[in-house]
Amino acid sequence: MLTIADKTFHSRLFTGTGKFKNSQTMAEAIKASESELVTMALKRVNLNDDQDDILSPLTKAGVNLLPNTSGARNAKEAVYAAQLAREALQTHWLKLEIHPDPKYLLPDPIETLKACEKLVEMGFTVLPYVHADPVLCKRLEEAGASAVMPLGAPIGSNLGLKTEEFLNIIIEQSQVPVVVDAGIGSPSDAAKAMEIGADAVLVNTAIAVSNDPVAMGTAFKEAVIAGRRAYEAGLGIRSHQAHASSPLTAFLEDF
Amino acid sequence: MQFFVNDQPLSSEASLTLEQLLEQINQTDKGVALAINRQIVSRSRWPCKRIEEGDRITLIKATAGG
Repeated sequence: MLTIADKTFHSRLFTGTGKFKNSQTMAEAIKASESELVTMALKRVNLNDDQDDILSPLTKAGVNLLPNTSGARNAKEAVYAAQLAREALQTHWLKLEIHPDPKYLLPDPIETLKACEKLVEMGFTVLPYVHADPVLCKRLEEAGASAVMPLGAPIGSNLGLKTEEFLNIIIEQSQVPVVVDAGIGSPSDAAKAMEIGADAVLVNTAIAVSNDPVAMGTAFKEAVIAGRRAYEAGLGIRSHQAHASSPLTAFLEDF
Repeated sequence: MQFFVNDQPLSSEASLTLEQLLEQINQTDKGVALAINRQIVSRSRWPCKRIEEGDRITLIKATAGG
């Protein structure tokens, strides 16, 4: 069981709702993943547009919603987006993300820390999306973040855990849950993150853009369970030399 | 009276509450939030809060995202 702030989760796999071909596939994939916390974004309503209702299937599925502040380029915009998100989804949970540069979507650490301080003061449960920076993660923890969400690689890149060495340091030092977010491209990446001791992973693109998102949702669920179980069991020590696992007795020597 | 919803100009002969506006523009779904002149107006105030001339209303909704 994983506890973040006031909620407890059976599943350590969090999922996103973006990039699915339709909301039915999204709902089925999330169901298959058994994720209990899913991210959502905000957009301006287009008055001439048709209704695009993704909220109903998620409400029906009974999952917890984690609105994000995607689109915010600085702390001020993020605080405004957070308040709108709280109104729209009636939750004080928030994935704080501030990425001013659309090419790499890398999070702005200074604005994120500023916004986190303010939002915690305002009563939000803040889960900041950040680079895998151990110092920043400690500062966010001190500012009252309920978890930290360091990236494995740029959003949607499917590159895997490029930041692994830094994730190790973050995991070792953190007093709040560590959720590896962004870049996880395959179930093996998710399993790896869990094996090194992450408390959870957040996966969106890798599930949504798969040929079969429902099957991929299941694959991620299983990988996260396997990775966590391996972490709890304790992995063996790595070595550059062989260590025999069969007895090297000399019974063939008289042959 | 003229006002703006997400930068689109709208007008109304009669005085409108936010709740009436949302009914008129067919946005009564859950998952919607709004601000007037960048001040968020909570849902509980929609039935009584009246729109004023020149108000700039930001109307947002929850959508898919990671």
